[in-house]
Amino acid sequence: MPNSESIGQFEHVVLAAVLALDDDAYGVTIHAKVEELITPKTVSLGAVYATLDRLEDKGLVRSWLSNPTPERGGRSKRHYRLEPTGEHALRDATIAAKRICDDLERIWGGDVWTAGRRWKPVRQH
Amino acid sequence: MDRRPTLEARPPALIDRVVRVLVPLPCREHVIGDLWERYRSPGAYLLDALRTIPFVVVSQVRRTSPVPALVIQAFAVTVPFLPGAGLRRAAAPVLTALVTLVLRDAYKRSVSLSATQVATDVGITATAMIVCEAIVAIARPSLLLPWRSMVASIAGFAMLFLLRLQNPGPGVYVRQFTSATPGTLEALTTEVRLFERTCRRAIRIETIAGVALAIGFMVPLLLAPNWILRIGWALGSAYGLYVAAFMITHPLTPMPDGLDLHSAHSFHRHQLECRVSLLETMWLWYFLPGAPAIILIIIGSATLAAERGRPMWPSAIVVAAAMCVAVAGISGARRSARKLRVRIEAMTRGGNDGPGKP
Repeated sequence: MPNSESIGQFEHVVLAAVLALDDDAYGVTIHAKVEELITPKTVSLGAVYATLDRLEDKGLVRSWLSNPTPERGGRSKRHYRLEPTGEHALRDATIAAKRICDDLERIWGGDVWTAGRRWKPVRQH
Repeated sequence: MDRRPTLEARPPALIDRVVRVLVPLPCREHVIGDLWERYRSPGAYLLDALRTIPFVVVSQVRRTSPVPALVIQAFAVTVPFLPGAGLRRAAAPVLTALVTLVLRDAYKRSVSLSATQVATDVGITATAMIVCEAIVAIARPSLLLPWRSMVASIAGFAMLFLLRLQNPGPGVYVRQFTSATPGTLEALTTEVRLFERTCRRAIRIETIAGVALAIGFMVPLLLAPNWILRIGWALGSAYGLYVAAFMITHPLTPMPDGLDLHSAHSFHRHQLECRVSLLETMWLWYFLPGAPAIILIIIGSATLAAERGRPMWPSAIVVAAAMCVAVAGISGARRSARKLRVRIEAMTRGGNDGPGKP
């Protein structure tokens, strides 16, 4: 099996957002979904565009312009969809993230989310 | 929360117009549409636009001005200035020219293969440089370029014109097609004919440039004051002829008419593979044969400078610039080869799933 394109952490989030939104994936919705995924952090719409452009250049997503809609001043939306290579890269990145998570669970013991919170006060002593 | 603007709640016309001008044309439609959709108040709209536009511009610049192409263009613009003006005086016009080129590429509607568009790009760059010189003349007259350099810049812009004609932009050929792979014979034939036209044009330009180089190098060959320079210019002239001969002896075979979809797919894939192979070995057949000429010219110039008691740094700069150009050229060729390879893979996938195969 050929190696998938390596992706960064933010690219991982954007790919996940595009996959989750399916047919409704365009700038505004992707940005909202990304902010939801990285809560409490925020990100600008421009950073999402730049990442989408990069992912498109890597051949991981493809885009097309939809028909103009009146609430956008008669302008089109640029819709995005994952390419098979994009899904492959997303799956590989998610498996790697899961592996890291499992390892941290083993180190911290139990659930990594609560363990992370429990661990902080210990370091303050 | 519904953030869709109603007819009453829309960005003020003036702010909207300014934002529209600042967003590069290729992404204006959807970026402005998205900003409109997120509209809540004029202040929030402006803030949103200011946080979005820099990313959009930088992303567009990254897409339209790859570093290798930029290095080669910088070389073409800088070299004619250096002998007469020196680095200090050449800096402002060269930087202006490069920034203009980069922004022009980022903001223009689409990259086309037309010579008129290339001429327009170069014209705009030259105009920006003249405006910069006018400002320098008012602000710091001591940094004004001498007339000799201004005249020499014509050669630089001619070289820039040829370079941009030869390399209209990254992935122009691949980006022409929206579908992953052409599914009908008509779509495939359109793609093949465009590819053939692009290749034929590239071969023609390279041949003309080779002959021009061969003739152009005859002048310094006749005027060269030492034998190292004479051999260097003679090798440079021979290299020009070699490039022209190589291009003539490696023409592109046009796809014959009347092929079915499967045969046309195979033929085009084979043609693409040949081009990829040529691009991947470009350092060997294109850059390496030119190296002895450049080395001898640099050694000859350095020797001459030492004999006349002049500084050696111009030779050092030319060495560094020549190396940068070679690296940028090889890297650009590899990048094009990678893009073509992606196309070949898409065609192979499409060919395997498409109607042409059982």
